[in-house]
Amino acid sequence: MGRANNLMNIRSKVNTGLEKEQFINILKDHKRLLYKVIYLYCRDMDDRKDLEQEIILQLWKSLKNYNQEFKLSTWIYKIALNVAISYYRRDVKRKEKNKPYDETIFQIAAEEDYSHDIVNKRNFLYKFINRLGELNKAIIILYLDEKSYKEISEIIGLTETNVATKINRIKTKLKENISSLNN
Amino acid sequence: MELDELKGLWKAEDKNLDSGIKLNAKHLMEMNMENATGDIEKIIRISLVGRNIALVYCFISTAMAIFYLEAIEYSIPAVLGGLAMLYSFISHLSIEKLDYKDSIVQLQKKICTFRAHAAANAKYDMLIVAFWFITIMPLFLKIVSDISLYKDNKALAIFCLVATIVLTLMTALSRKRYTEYDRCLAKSETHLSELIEFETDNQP
Repeated sequence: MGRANNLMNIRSKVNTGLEKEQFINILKDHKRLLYKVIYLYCRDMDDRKDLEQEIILQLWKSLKNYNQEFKLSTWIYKIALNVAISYYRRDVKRKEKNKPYDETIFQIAAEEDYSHDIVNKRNFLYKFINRLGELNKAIIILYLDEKSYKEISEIIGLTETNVATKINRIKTKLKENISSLNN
Repeated sequence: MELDELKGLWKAEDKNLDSGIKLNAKHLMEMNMENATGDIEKIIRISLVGRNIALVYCFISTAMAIFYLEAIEYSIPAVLGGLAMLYSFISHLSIEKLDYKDSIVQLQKKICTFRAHAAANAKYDMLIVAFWFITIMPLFLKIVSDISLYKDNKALAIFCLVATIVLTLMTALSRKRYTEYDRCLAKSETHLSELIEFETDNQP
């Protein structure tokens, strides 16, 4: 409810100077979601800076037309995944582009701050997800985040039946992959 | 391990990320978000401007042809150039701006369709621009400099020579780009069929 009110404020003050701070607060609320999308679709550090900027810019623009029929997290997922998949698929050679900003927007604590066990589990999780194609990857991110089939179907643009079928296939794939990953 | 067990890992990762991620608010405050656009949006915006310019060129040709309607050796080529530009405008009517609020499959299909369309039409667009210049130039010289190209053999010879050189150079220099367009077209069409297959395949 608080987030929705926050967003209403953004919409009403979208052309004033104050909204950027409110926008940052929304990003703070959804930092894990955004970080995971960026991290899972882009492993190269320079590319990641570029991608996170593009996602932030699209969120900024799209929030002006936020449709309250959707949950805010569903809305943010849709924009972030759309930008990430478009970015992943694009043809432009990275080096020809302008250099992204030097600083990252989402700054993560150094790996050594985590225990060995956490790092291992995270690696396993990301390794499995990264073996999937970009659309199945989006489905599994949403599934793991406990989005309903209805929400997943709205974000991806498939029927609920199709979403269920895809998730079942991913489950089968997981079983097949477990042995190879363990090996 | 089952997929549902991955949810446990995912939740644990969420907890780690919650304390591990910091948002660089200072950097965000410094970012200029109002006028920035993404890469694909820039390309689409340029294509839309190009499409509308084609309509302007069509009007220019038509207006100049009407101005010299009685001299058909000048006005007919200008009308043909205008029609070529009108064709270019109509053929690009399907280009539309991207909306990141669309579903993922819908947006990716739009992007693939746009890329395929742009790659398939790029060569014709270049030829249309060259054709337009050649058809409008005699009339332009007539109106602006009062040079009657078809009555002045020397001027006509120079015009034909320049047009031939320009067309030859354009063809030679565009070869590499044409290969790139063809590669892009093939890739976009493959992506599009993958998307359609992904969207329609729901057999268990």
